[in-house]
Order: sequence, then C-alpha cells, then structure tokens
Amino acid sequence: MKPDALKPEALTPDSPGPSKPVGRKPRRRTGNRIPALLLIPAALGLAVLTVPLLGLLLRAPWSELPQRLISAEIGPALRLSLLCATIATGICLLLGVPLAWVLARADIPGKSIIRALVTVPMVLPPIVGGVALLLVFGRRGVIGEHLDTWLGISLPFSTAGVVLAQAFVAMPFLVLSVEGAIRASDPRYEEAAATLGASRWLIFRRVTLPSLLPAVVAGTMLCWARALGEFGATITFAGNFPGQTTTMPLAVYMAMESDPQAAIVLSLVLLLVSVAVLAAMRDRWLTGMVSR
Amino acid sequence: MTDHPSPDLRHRNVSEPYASDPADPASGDHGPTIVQSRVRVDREDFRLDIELSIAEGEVVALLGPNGAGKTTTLRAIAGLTPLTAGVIRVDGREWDRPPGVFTAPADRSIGVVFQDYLLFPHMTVRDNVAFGLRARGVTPKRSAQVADRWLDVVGLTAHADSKPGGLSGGQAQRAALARALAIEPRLLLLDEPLAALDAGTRMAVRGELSRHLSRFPGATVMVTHDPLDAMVLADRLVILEAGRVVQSGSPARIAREPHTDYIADLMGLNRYTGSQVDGRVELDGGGVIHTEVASGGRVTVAFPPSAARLRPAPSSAEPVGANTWHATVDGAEQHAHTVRVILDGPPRVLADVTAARFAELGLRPGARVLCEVAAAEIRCYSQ
Repeated sequence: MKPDALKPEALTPDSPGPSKPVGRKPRRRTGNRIPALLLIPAALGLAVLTVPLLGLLLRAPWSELPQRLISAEIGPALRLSLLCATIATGICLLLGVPLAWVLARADIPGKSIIRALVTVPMVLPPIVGGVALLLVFGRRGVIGEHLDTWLGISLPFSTAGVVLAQAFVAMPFLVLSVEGAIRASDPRYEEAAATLGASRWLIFRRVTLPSLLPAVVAGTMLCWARALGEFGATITFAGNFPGQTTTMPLAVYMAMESDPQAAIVLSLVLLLVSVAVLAAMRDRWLTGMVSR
Repeated sequence: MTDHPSPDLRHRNVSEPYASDPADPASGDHGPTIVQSRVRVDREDFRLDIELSIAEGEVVALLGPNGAGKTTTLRAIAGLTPLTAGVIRVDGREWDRPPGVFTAPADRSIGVVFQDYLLFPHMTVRDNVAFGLRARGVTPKRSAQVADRWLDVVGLTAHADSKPGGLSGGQAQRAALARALAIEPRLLLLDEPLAALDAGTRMAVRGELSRHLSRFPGATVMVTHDPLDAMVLADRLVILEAGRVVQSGSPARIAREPHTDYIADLMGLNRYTGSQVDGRVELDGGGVIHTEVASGGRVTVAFPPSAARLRPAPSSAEPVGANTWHATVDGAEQHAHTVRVILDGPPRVLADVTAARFAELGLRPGARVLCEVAAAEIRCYSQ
C-alpha cells in the first residue's frame, strides 16, 4: 500500500524539464553510424511499404478526379461505406468499451481465454469470418434461421449484414486499445471518488471515462478505419449489391475489371482516409501497442 | 448517487466551513468517543490486529516503519480494505463487522487525503472540491459555492479554475484537504499528508495543516512515518510495528520513554533494557548505568544523544566515575548543527557533539574516548 506515484510535475510545476547538459561541447558525428548491412534491407523494406502507394499517386487521373468522385459508381459506394463504418463503429463502442472494462478489471475465470477469443478476428482471414457469419446468421444458420422465421429479419446480403461484418472485424481494435488504457489507469482515483461518496456509475462516468477518453478516441478511429476498409467478410456475408452492400473496397474490386481509372480514384479516397486517421491519432496507438 | 446521503450533511449546515464548534486545541480534552474499532486484516504473510478508539476532536497519528500496517488500518476504516475480523464502529453504527456487515466507502462519513492527493486531473480545482457534494446530490450551483468557500479557507481561491496539474505540491495538498473537508465528514483520514512535499514546503504546510486539524470537529486519523509530523500534528501517537500496537500515548511521553528500539531510534534516543539492582542497572548488552530512580526488576533506560559528553581517554587505566565508560568511535554522521558519533561500548551509544569538539577530539573511527552521561538526563522506567 505504498504507491510511490509522486508525480514530479505536481511537486515542482515551474521547474524545467530534464536539464540539458551544460558546458559540454557539441559532439562530433562519429558514433551512431548505421552499418551498411542494415541500411540496405531497411531501405528495401521502406520501399516495399511505400512504393505501391506512390504508384497510386502517380497513376491517379488527377484532372478528372472531381467528376469521378460524384459519379454514379463512386458516390453511392462512398456514402454507403461511410454510413456502414460509422454505424459499425457505434456498435463497437457500445459493446466494446464494456467488454474492455470486463477484460481489464473483472475478476472472472478464464479471462486470458476470453481475451484470446477477442483477438481472433484480428488475425483471422476476413473471408473466414464471412463464412462463419454466414453459418450463424445465414438463412439456415444457427441463429439466422430463427431470426428469419420468428422476426422476418434476414441479415446476409443486406446493408445490416455489411455493418455486422464490419463490426466483427473491427471491434477487437477498439477493445484492445481501451483495455490497455483501463489496465494502465490508476484505480486509486476511483477509490478516492468512492471515499467522496460517488456511486459506481458516477465514478465510471466522471472519473474513469474521462481518463480513458484519449484511448477511446484512438480505438474508435482505428476501429472506424478498419471497418471502412473491410472487404473479405463483407463480400462473403453481405454479397455485392450496388447501393445496398457494395462498399468502397468492393467497388474498387469491381472497378478493376471494368474501369481501372475508377478503381484508382476509389483507392485514392481510401488511402486519403487512412492517412487522415493515422495523422489524427499520431503515434498514440502504435506506441501504446509497443510499450504494453 | 449514493443510496444513503450522509446523515451529517442533512443535519448540518453545509455552507459554512467549520460550522460546528471548533475543538479547543490547547485544552487536550476531547469529546465523546467517535470511533471504536478492532481492526484485523489477514494477508498471506501479514496480520494486522490492533484496537483503536478516537474521540471527537482528537488527532491520532499512526506511526511506524514501512509495512507495519498503518495504511492498511486507514484503508480499513475508509472501507477500501475490508476487515478479516473485528469491528469498526463509528458513532455507535457498525461500518464493518465480518461477516455480514459492511458499509461501502461511499456511504461512510469520511474525508480522505491520499498520499499523493489523487486530485482528478481532468477537473478544475473547484470541481474537485465540489465532487463529494455533487456525489451526494447537492445542486451544481450550491456545490460550487461551498467549494469556493473551502478554497477560500485553504487559500486557493486564485486557483479555483485551474487544473490540479498546475498546482505546486503544497497547493495540491491544500486542495486535497479542502476536497476531503467539504463534505463535512465525521472522520478525517490522512495518509502521509506531508510525504510528497519537499523539506522547505513541508514546514509551512505542516503548520497550516495543524491549524485546520485543530478546527476540524470530527475525529482525525493520520498515517505517517515522520515523528516530527506526528508530534506537531497529533494529540496521541499510536506506534505500530509488524501489525501490532507497541506503544500508544501522548507525543511527550513516547518521546521520553520509548518502549521499543524502533521508537527510540525514531525519537533519536539511546535506549537499553536491563535489570535493576539497588541503584545500578545492569544492561542486557553489557555495561552498567547508575540511576536514582529505583523501581527494581526489569527496566528500560533511555537518554538523548545530547546527554552524552565525550572527552579524551586517559592513557592509564585509572578508575572512572559513575556513568562514565571507555568507548571506541565506530562512525559519525553530520546532522544540522552537530555531529552524531556512534560509539562502541559497551554500551553502544549515540552522542551528539559540535563540529569543533569533533575535530578537537579527533574522533576518527577507532579513536578511543571517555563517554560520560549526565545522570539527570537518564530516564529509567519499567514497561
């Protein structure tokens, strides 16, 4: 019971940060030279990651870009993608944050197994996820059969199916991001709130959640980006019906056959969104993953 | 919101800080007993088992080495660590009596100041102080008003709208105190309230805390490992070692007659146990001390390092007087204005000398000196 979390900034807010070495001459650039043996594969690795994206930029039909963006092919797909990814992310938030909470804090048996199960969709080939979803929610599926006969609801090959497929694939990103933050957060703040008379719900709302907000935001954006790019599970489970289930990635796939220029434009839009998400998150999520 | 708003809040005027009669700090008399408890907490390799009663207006300091169970006691009273056995009774109401009776922390009338304050970093200082009132269903406007009055009491009005991250250590401590007091608890629990402060701030904050504690009408329990904090702030010290109370009483008494080596060390005293025969106490570790107090049997002898005088050892083995013996310097450490010399006896003694005297006598390790203790400063008592 002796946490030594004395925050130095709380003690001396005015003191400068780590002091710079004083009175030392600037070091000459002798050390820290990268060996050539590492430099070559490193450069190749960078090329593998970036050259394809450069190709996309080089071959993009920049002049006709504006017209193409509002064309009949792209417009509906873009709108459907944004809508489905946003709804799927909303569902992931509603279900994923409590799930992260339970994984981080609840004292339940087999928690490591549950955590492993949560991460499975991250590494599973999305198409396998699509097949699995079909087996469960398909018209003859374990649950889908009852949904169909009792409620008249049919998920596969519908917009709702797209949302389900995206949520299935994207939720782990949110859960893991938030769970890490909950585990790293200091439960003593919650104790302090409890001694002040706060109920559990009030503590969660006013103390815990605000401290998790950065992680929730990062997890949400990551989740949304993943949902937006979802292809395999969507095409397997929801099919490819323009206006209903044809999201951007599916449209890219189709356009590659008929109109490669359109495919490039669609890809460019998806690339732009991904870069925007990364830029907004900066390195928060990535560093979080590494340091955990 | 809590199911049971604090009964105190319903009957007392929430708006006025220190609305109740402040206890007179000078009188030393305290009101009726508020807390009656036997705190027992078992862990794998540790058992805390103490009895603790605290009166209205009394400040009790739990003092002890790390791992003695001080903080666990505080957490048990706060309801953050449930008892294994025993009972915590406050104003006749049972807060914890396993199995079966347990009042959640939120439903106990307590104000806790945590070791590193735990001010909510995303809220303003005002919202921090108002938090307890908001949790008890007081309207936002009213809570803010009360919070502002408390911030005025602790002198933080100028910082009401800043985030805790911008506060200095002393300011954060005062904000935490205001947050704990704003709900007018029956019990104020302080966990190492000054440990996070640097030496300079510490003295000022200690004085200020003392002022607030003397005006607090309820009972106060403070955990500390600093004897000075305990003696300045508390009416009564309860010394814990390895989960048990080894001594309890007024700071003055404990400072004079420590019961264990730990306390003697804490108070900076030389302490020996021995058997008294006539006017002589034969110390267990060797050596004899003469004293006029004759209680007989097993006794403890104590004297401060300042009572030991050192002088050059005579070359010949001439006989020495009472309470004087040959000693060898074992080591020395610099204190504020004196040098504390560790002497091998028997008995082993800590002696304070001035730096000038230290140089004059050439007290290098291994040097031989004569050590004399003034009889008037030796205390002899049976436990």
